[in-house]
Amino acid sequence: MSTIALVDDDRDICLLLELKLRAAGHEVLVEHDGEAGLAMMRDRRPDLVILDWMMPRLSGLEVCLAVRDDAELRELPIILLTAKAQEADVERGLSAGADDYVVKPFSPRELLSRVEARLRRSGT
Amino acid sequence: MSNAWPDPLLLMAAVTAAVVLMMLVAVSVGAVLRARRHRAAARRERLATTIRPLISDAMDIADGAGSVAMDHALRALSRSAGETLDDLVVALVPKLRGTERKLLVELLRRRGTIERVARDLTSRSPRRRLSAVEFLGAVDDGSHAAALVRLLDDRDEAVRLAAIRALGRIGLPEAVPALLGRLDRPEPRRELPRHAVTMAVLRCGSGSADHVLQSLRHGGAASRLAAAQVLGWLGELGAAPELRDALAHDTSPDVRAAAAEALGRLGVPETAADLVVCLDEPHPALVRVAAATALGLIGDTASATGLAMTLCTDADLRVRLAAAQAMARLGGPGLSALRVLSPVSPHAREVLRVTLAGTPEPPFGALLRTPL
Repeated sequence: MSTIALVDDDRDICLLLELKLRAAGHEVLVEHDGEAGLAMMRDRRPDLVILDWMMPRLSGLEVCLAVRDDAELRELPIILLTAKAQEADVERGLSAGADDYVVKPFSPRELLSRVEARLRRSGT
Repeated sequence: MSNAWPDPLLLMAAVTAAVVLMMLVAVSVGAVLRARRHRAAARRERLATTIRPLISDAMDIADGAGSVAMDHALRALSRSAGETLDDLVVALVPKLRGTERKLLVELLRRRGTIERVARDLTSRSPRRRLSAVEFLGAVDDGSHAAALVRLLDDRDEAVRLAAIRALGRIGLPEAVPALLGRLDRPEPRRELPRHAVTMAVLRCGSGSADHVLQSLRHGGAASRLAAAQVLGWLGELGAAPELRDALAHDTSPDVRAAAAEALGRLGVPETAADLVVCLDEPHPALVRVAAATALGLIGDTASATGLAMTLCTDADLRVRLAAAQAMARLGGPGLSALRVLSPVSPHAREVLRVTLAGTPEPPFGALLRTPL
């Protein structure tokens, strides 16, 4: 069983994804702002994080950069889940250290497939 | 004779007591209402917690057996649970795409929610009409497109705007003639914002290209303008002949300028010659600016000579600047020409400086304000 961190200020999406991820057998940790999300990642060391971009207190991009700067979290797989859909946004997100980029509106089924693929690749 | 007036001190005390009592009542009522709201919110959240797994299951239905089981579950819901389910699904649908989204919309349809809400499209209350329009737009329900089109003439401005947006979200190409045609029929006090209509048509996508072309060919000036813009943004290469025709012959300078911009976006080199012709002064300045800009986007270096002439001789500052910017975009030949012209043209000098510095090209307006 893997631990997935879900950091998004959209509570509807968090509640839906939490249900889906738990049904798939994962433990889920949820926070609704970037600062709390980063603190949670440092404390709980999840196996993967699904991260929104536009959030209060600390944006997803800032969280990404902080994670990649942290020696203990550097290898954490990050999937950005965001409504920012321009080519330049995708470039920025991946340059900041995200491993994958999913644009909202999204397919939960597809997102879960990407989560499983990342977990397999990271050996979790 | 006794004094008919009450003692002033007593009167003041009575008034003060009344005010204090009223304040206490107001505070108490406020507290009771707040407590009720909290209880209602807590009740809704408890309901929502039991409903969410049902919604999650609805998104995983793969076969008829699953549908039957879901129908049973839906029928068992209480009225308040059903309303909570509708609210949760409507909040989720715009955030999802693909099969799960379709399944959730189907869920609303099976519950009769879509039909129920659609009845409010003809409500006497503008608030209910607006709410219904926004709901149908959010769930992309095209089955009430005709009713939404009628609401383009609604007496309430917010309803009209919501109808435009809903038709754009739903994206039915069949709605495009109604959207564009409405621009040509301005109704007093029931105007439609042109930009909102253009964006809605754009959202209908390439599937609407034939309808948009029809408007370019046969519509009024307003719809021809919107049509030219949309065809450029959609990248409809097949529309190039019609756009060339509009550039050369349309009676409206705005439409001709929009056609030039669209040809620039399409980037078809064969249209460069038509655009160079439009650099000459008999054509309105608006068209000359658009033609110069389009030539820069197309990047045909053969147009450098025409642009250089415009830079040197055009009477309109904006046109000269647009020509300079276009020459910079042409690369080698354009930059060479700018260098040659720099001693005599401050616009050439400024554009060359910005281009060689590698700084992002300033917006047109900023260049106009640059001291020369």
